[in-house]
Amino acid sequence: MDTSKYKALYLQETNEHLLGIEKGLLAIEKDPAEASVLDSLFRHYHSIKGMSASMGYEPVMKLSHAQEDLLSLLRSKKLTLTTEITSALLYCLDALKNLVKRVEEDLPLEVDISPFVKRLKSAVEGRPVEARESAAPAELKLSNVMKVEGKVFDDLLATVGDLFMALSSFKSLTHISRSIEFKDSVYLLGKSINSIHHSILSARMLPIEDLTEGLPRVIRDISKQSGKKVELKVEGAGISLDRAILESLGAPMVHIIRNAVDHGIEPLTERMQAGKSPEGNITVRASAKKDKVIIEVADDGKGIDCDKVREKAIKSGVPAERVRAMTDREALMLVCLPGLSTAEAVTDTSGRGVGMDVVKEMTEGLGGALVIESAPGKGTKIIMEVPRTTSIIKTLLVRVEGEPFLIPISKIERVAEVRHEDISDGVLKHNGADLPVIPLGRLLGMEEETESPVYTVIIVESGRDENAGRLIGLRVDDFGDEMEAYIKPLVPPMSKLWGVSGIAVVGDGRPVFLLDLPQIVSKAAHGAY
Amino acid sequence: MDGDRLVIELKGLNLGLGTKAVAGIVETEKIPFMPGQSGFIAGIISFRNEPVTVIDIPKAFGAAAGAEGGPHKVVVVKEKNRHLGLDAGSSAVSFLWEEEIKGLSPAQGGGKYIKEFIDVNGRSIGMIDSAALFEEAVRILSTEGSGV
Amino acid sequence: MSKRVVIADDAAFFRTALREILLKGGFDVVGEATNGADAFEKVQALRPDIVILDVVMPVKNGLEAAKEISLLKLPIKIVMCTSLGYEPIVEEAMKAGACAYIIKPLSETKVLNTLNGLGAQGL
Repeated sequence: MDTSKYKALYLQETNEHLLGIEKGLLAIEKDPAEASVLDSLFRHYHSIKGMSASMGYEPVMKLSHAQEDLLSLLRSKKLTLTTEITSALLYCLDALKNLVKRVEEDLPLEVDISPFVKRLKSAVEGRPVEARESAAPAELKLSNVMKVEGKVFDDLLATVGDLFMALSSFKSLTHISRSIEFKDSVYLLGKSINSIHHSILSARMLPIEDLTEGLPRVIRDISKQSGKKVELKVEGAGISLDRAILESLGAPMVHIIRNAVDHGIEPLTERMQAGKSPEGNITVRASAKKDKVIIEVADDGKGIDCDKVREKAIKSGVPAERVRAMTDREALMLVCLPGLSTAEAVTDTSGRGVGMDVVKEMTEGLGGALVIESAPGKGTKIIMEVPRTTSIIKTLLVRVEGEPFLIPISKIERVAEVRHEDISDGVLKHNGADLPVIPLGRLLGMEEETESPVYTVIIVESGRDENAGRLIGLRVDDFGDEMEAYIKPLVPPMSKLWGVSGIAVVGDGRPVFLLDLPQIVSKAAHGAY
Repeated sequence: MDGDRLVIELKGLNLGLGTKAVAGIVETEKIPFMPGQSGFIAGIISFRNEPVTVIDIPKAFGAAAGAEGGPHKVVVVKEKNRHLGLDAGSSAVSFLWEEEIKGLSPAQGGGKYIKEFIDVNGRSIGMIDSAALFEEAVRILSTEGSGV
Repeated sequence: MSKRVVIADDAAFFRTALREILLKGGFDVVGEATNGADAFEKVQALRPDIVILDVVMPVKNGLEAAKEISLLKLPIKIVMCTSLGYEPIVEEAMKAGACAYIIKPLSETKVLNTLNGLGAQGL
């Protein structure tokens, strides 16, 4: 086997096992009765042995083998753990660490391991060792991994945002400057800022596992209260997300799971009658889709009763004709209405709703989307789609009734100049199809627009759900530069502002809103302007 | 009652603010638009690179600005950890030092967004309740488009 | 058509090595599992021709997985993979339905000879 290409993987896994061993040894030192620790210790040694054998690292293999044998005896209770054995294992662990370090540094491995094997042997036989060797490491080493307060990265990212803004001022100066040196420098500056930005973003990434590893405990506690048995499965936990996004998913996740256990999963007898497995199943599945992560939380409980949700929504004041016109899929989203979600009665009748408004708000606040799927009797699936990274996005500056706004470039199909008479009843013939054109100013509650012979129409694709894939035209005055904008979230009192999802402070210090296209498209689709 | 006061002089109404709550004063020709702005919301400005919601003080207190023309004076106040901009129009802004008001006890009564009145040298000054203004701003900006 | 294989080993190191050897040998690795329970599920879902099970794995070890998989009565060849010193377990697995074994350290010839030898048993 060509071993060289596996070396990195070998080192990575072996170091993880070494860490596991250290943890395990310290744990049995405290509580020798913990059998599961012995099992995992055994597997750690076993894995190191196996990998080292395949790589041809004989001393590592032999030493880990000797310790594996010892663990095997402990596991089968042929040997009782003594402090002497634990210290011998700790002593050998240091030797293993040194050997692996030699592997890492490409140093020769001809190391005599017999003193270590001897020490293990005497520990097993209960013979005291000559004092002298101490188990404490000979030197204190700093790890390659640094622990940094999360806030440091938040600040770094904000600073990069400011740099981008300064850069955009410089860029506009290059238009009027004739100095080649200046243009070159601005170009280089831009490249450097981009590369810092990328490094910071990748340093901020954390695996979803960091969030999901707390879930078994949550489920245990909730299901204990309700007396239900619930199995949790997590898939795709290795996918990583920006720390800030991951952090804000914590509370919604617990809300969703609490709902699933409390109101989704049926009591035991009901499940048996329905022919389901006695324990309820909750699956958390994460998958990456381009720059987004989709997190699904599915349960196999009784599902949501759409009719009950409609009924409840009408009672709480949503116009009946609007509720009746909704598809089931749209009606399901009614559980996210603040009125519905907090009403306790809903949980009894519809079986769901606690805090769903919070969940929806959170995902949308992150620039994401929330979808609910439910099949009566089969279960419910809550799907959250959130961006993997935050903050700095490519945007186009447009002007609406004289006010500037930003549109994410990724959503723009193209920009068209359209004559006034080509738009009739708000519809433009575009490539043979009807393209609805929204007067953006009116939609955003601005003063009535002035008529003009030619309009600029930004054609975007940004619908969700039933509007997905549909193109829509946004009528604006004109458009300006493309810019990298550092988008700040909207904070109170404007956190619930309609039609915009964030704000950037641009080069000249003026605040400019980022348009929330999904919200705008959905309102336009309902003809609500 | 401690600390200096900042006084916004509207027509027929003087409004005071503890200077400890004032983060800064921004002068601007025009206050950019905020989508869905209505009621006393005047728009948005940036203050030290952070966006700040601005409310129209003359409108909120039902009194005309103290002077016509000229740039807007926006007093940025800190309310807990959040900022709020108070657009005084081109009204005059002055200060009262702590020594001037020492020992004065507040006169009775308050009003909408006013915590209490104090009388200084024959001038009655209403102390602005910025928390109440903030809550009202939240309410105004949340009503539009809250549907599903 | 190339034979479809599921690999179960808790070490990414071995999964990677096995995958590369198998690809070279013309096999199609359709799934990887990191423990016995995972292996059982993947076998059920993916219906491979061959499953390679490491003996020492967390949650459910290779022997238990081999027993459960053979109870499914699927046309799947179970190959055990382990370090020296586990002959008794391999033997028990063979009794329970495994049909071959590979002793680590892995080598290309060892792995491919074992898997190609399965053909002689009428796969």
